[in-house]
Amino acid sequence: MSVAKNISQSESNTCLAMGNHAIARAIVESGTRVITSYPGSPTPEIGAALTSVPKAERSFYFEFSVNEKVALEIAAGASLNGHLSCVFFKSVGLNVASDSLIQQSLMNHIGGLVIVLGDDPGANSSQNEQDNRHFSRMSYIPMLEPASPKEAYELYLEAARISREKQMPVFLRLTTNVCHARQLVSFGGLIRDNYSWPSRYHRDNGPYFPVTKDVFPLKNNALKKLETLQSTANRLVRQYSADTRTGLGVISCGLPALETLEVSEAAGNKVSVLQLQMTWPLPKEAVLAFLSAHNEVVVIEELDRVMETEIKAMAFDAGCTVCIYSRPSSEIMGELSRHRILKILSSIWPDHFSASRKKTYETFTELPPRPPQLCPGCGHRSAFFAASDILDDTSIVVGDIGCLTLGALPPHHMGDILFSMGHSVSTAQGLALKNPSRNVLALMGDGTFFHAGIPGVINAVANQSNITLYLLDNATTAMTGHQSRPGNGEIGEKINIPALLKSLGVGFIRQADAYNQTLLKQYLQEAFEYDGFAVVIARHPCMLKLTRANRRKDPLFQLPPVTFSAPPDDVDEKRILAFGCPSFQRGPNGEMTVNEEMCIGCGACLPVSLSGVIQRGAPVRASGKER
Amino acid sequence: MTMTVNILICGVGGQGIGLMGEVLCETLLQAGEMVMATETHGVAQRGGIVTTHIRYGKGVRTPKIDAGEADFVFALERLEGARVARHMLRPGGKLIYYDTVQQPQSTRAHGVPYPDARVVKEMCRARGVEASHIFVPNLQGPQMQNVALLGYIATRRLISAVTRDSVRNALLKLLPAKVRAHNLQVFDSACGYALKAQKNHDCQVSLKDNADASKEDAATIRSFPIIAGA
Repeated sequence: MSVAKNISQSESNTCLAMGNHAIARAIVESGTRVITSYPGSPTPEIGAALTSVPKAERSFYFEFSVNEKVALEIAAGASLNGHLSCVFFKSVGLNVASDSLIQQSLMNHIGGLVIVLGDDPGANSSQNEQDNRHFSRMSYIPMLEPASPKEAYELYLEAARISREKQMPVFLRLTTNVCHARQLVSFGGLIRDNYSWPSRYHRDNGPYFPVTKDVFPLKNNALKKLETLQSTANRLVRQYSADTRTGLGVISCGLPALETLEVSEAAGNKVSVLQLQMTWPLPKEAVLAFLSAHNEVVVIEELDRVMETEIKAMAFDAGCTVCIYSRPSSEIMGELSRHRILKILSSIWPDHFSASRKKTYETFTELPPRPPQLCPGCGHRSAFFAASDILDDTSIVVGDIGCLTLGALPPHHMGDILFSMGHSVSTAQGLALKNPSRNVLALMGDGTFFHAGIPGVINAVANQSNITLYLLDNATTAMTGHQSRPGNGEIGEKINIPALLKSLGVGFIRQADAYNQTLLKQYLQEAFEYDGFAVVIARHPCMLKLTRANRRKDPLFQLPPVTFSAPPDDVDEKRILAFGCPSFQRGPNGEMTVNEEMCIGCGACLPVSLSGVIQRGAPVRASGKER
Repeated sequence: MTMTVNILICGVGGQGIGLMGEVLCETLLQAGEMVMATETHGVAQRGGIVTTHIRYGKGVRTPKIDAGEADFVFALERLEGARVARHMLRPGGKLIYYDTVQQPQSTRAHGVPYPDARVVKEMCRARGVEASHIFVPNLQGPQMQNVALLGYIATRRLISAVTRDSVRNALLKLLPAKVRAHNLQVFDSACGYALKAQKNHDCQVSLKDNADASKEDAATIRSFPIIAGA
């Protein structure tokens, strides 16, 4: 069954669902009307599932907004107007949204607002592994944490219910292996209604204007709402009792709770496990009852000691004599696993758990690593290749987020510094202050430019910063799966980047196709010589997106791979390796060959060879249309 | 209920690892197993390593497989098969890979040795696990390698729920209509190829160069029309 069918089918049904798809189904089932997002792993499949439903059949409004703060504000605004709303994004997206987030608990959300977070313990696809549970404490927003796709579905419905009932925002915190996990999930039915989109905003439902002393009644209200959640928190617990009375217990949440349970069961089920589904505010009664029923307890949580600290305080205040152990400090980093949990438990309770000796298998054979790389045909590669000829050893290149982050890897080595999305121009401005002898180049993609890059550009223009922005425009949000961004896609070419830059007062703007090496090099040289803030735009459509689109039309679509008319000489070989297209591989005798399965025939490499030995291949005879 | 079985599927971004995982999950579900799975995403589609974890059987509550626990590693690329098998297989576990090569950057630029099939086999033997591979000559369109590997897995009956029929049914259910016929053709031809190889007792590891595949076998495959996938 297709994902679209899965989430729009009226009847209740059971299917093998990914966590993200289960969330999408819950969004539709709960009658959530406005959903916004900014794409980022591990959550973009929620958006893909929602947009797979044809627009005419949607009972909801959905958009990928320009950034997470904008997305949150749209969802919050819709909620103040009475519509149940949801915003979802990745872990670090909450940093961007946080300026408006903190006010949300002060607002009387008459529609309801669910904030779905995709945290990334282990930093699988993020610049850090921040623990967003801290945000719930800072913003007075309750938090639910599912451990599986099934719980993700159930707890979204719960979050929507709480939010609507209490008229307060609710966090639903997912982690990578809850988002991407698959299991059988039973979905309820959908109620088809003709939602008339009534506008229910009224200032009497507020006030919605927290300034100076008016903040305090609103804050008081937020704190009171939190206090009313104890009965819900105490209901949202799962207790798995040990078979034998060892007096040992684990308090946990999310995927690690089920991993702990599996470890314990495999070792003879000697430990009780208390899984908390509401992790802020903590369920006092359930936790204290569990503590007093056990002699020794460990809190197993991924990343920071958030619950552990609070549970210890709770035990102290209640005069509870239970012994609460800490995880070793080495365990507050990275994603947990059953092996890691077994290691923790065996270090604390060696009589009940024994971690097998860790075998290392890495000694047999050296295997080359496989870092991710830019796709064949990627315009970023061509842009990096052109820049590498212009930059010297003293140049400073500031990287940014997106596919171009991969430029930091060999063979490109483009990008030395990385903070966050859109930081590059302002960071470059700082590096260039009173530093006229070194060229400073800021890299940025088009998606990131719209997301958070524009204020930095304005600042650089206003302060006449002598830096160059190298804007790599592939006309899409490529890294996260080609979601539309304000300059393209569903809403068309509404915002023209060079025109925007011009209107901001940028005095030097040049653009060229990224494959045009001569022009790019000339422009970069001129930009470095230019006195003031300069922008060079290297444009080329995302070739992964283009190739997929072509193959959707014709499954056999393939441009002929390039060939060598003669073996490349040493200079050419060096240049081809510096270019780094993965289609160029080593033959059995170390000679350079073209991997025809990989080459998309784009011709980006033609200008790389100085002697012209790379040639376009002969057209392929076969085509799907012939059959 | 069967004891816990852990299956890892791996390869390089863009090889269709996700579909392979979905097909195997579907066959296991049809056989009444309780299945949990998870997959790596993120930057994986940019030529990085992709894995899908599948666990089923008694006591399975979570989807991630730990090091040294996998019963099977099904790989769509030789180096990734070797890497994941070495790290993840339990003693006595099996590596089955589709024998294609995508050289990583260090091999291309600095000549870091890329293991040949013999090295992979020796490494696996030293590690106490079994390795075998399939390569279907003249398979046009690398997007079809996943289906070819499924054909091999089904023919060899490595997992009781994964049969030629159950995989066929799963493909019918999961593939878009446009590419269904092509995929089933490749699947059937890979099944035939695997069966023939098995009869010739060279199924375990065909260390021979792929070009050495008997002319007859190659001809069988060549007679199929040009093939491509989703």
